[in-house]
Parts: sequence; structure tokens; C-alpha cells
Amino acid sequence: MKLFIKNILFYFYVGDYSLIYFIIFMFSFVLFGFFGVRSGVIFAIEKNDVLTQLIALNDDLQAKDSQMITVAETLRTAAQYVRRLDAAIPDKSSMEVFLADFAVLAGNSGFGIQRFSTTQSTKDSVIVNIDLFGDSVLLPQFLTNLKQLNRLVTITKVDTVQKDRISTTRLVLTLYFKEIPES
Amino acid sequence: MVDIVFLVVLGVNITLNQRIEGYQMGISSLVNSIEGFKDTNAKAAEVTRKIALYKKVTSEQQDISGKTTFLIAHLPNDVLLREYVFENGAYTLTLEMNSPIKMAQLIANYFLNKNVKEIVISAASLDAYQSKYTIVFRVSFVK
Repeated sequence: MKLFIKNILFYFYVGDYSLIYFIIFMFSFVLFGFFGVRSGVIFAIEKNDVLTQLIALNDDLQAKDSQMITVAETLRTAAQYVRRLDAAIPDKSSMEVFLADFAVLAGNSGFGIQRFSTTQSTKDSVIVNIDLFGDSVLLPQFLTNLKQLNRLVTITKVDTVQKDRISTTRLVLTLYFKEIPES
Repeated sequence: MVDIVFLVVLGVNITLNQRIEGYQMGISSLVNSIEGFKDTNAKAAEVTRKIALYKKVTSEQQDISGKTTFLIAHLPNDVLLREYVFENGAYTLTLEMNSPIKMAQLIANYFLNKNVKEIVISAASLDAYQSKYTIVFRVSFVK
């Protein structure tokens, strides 16, 4: 070792740096060749795997994004139908709106409202009991006119009784509203 | 030679880093964009649920107004409709008439409609003082 250092110092002394260059070359060869290239290749392989996963994720997200753009566009195009659907199945039972619409419809069909009551039946529907007075002859037309209501309505029961020239009708209707999501 | 290989590997690493960074930015932008559609997604889900409910309810509904029109329109003039009930898919009529033959004619008329599945007379009575027959019967339709 002493000889080796002595030789190096000698070469320095006489101005011949070839050994030094050789040593630097060997050092850099080992450093870059073994540590640099090897770890560089390993990193490159790992990064390529990450890149492949990122490309797949990017494609997936791009597909979802364009899907959402299509959905938004469809909702925008169908806005008037969505509004009608929202009116048919509102977020709340909106009984006051229904009662107002129903009273107008009944009046136009020749019936008057005697009594109006509601019963909660399920989480997305409500039962409505309505007592009406009016000529039973007009009943078929009135039931047809019920379809004109903006609300989604199911006629559960119709009971018309004619007594002493007075006709009373009890209607049991089911109204629907937006289902409350289960928590 | 080793240096060239090292430089090439280094270049590949730098390129990969740049591409990864590019994709990360792109993904971040896409995630933000999709998050912006959160309300749209919720609305679409709500509309889908409402359409399903609408379809279910309307598919189960009967043409009550049409059947009521049919049942009442076929009543003879001198037959009085005392009570008309629709419940659980069946139509029950209480009629008052001065001759039972009218009931037979009415049943025959109803059966001309192929959708009338069954007519069940559940009660019949005679008011001898007034000579009036009261008949209660239930009409069921095919659908």
C-alpha cells in the first residue's frame, strides 16, 4: 500500500497523470457501471410499472369523465322532462300543492271537497282520503281527469254512495314522493 | 461505454419522471373534473330511481276511469246506481231496479266485453212495498 501511494506521488511529481486517470476511470467505471447503471435500470423498470398503472388509471378516469359529460348533457337536454318527473314525484309529499291542484280539478269536474286527510303509509308514499260531493254520473270523467294532475297518483279506492239524490264519493289515493335514502 | 449506458439510463429515468409527472397532473385534473360532476351524479341517480318508481307504479295501475265509464255507461236508464265501489282490483255495484230482467240484460251486456272475467252477485233483495229489487254484484276484469 505504501508502495502504491509512493508510486502515485512519484507520478504526480514527474507530471505523468495517466495512473491517476486510470484510477479515476476505474473508480467511475465501478461507481457508474455497478451502482449507477444497475440502480438506474431498476428504477426505470419500477417507474415504467408506475407509469403503466398511471396510464390505466388515466384512461379509466377519462372514460368516467366523458361518461359524466354525457350524463350532464343528457340531463340538460331532458331538463323539461326531469322537471315533470320532479313534479310527479317531488322531494317532499307537498300536500298543499297537491290539494290546491286537486281542488281546482274537482271543481272543474263538478265535485266539491268535503274532507281531506292524509295517512303516512311507507317511506316514499302517502295515503290520502278525500270525501267529495257531486253527481255520480260525472264520476267516470272525474277519474279520467285525475290523470291531468302533475302528481303520480294511484287510485286505491273509490266509493260512491247515492242517498236521497245526494251523491258522496270517498276517494283513497296514493301519492308518491322521493324515497328517503336509508342512513 | 459505461458512461454512455449510464447516460442513456439516466435519460430514460428523466423521461419516465416527466411522463409520470404529466400523468399525475392529468389525473389530478380529471379527479377535479369528476368531483365537479358530484351533483350531476347525484341528480342522475335520483332521476333513475324516480323513473324506476314511476315505471313500477304505472305498470301496476289499472285503467279505473275506463272501466268505470264502461260499467256506468251500460246501466239502463231506469236502473239507479246506489253505490259504486272500486277496491282491490274489483268493482262492486249496488243497483236498484223495478225488474230483475234488467239485471240479466246488464250481465249479458257486460259479458260482451271480453275483458270482463267474472260477475258475482253477492246480494239480492226485494222491497215488496215499493216493488224494487236491490242487487249487489262484483265485476272482475281480466286486467
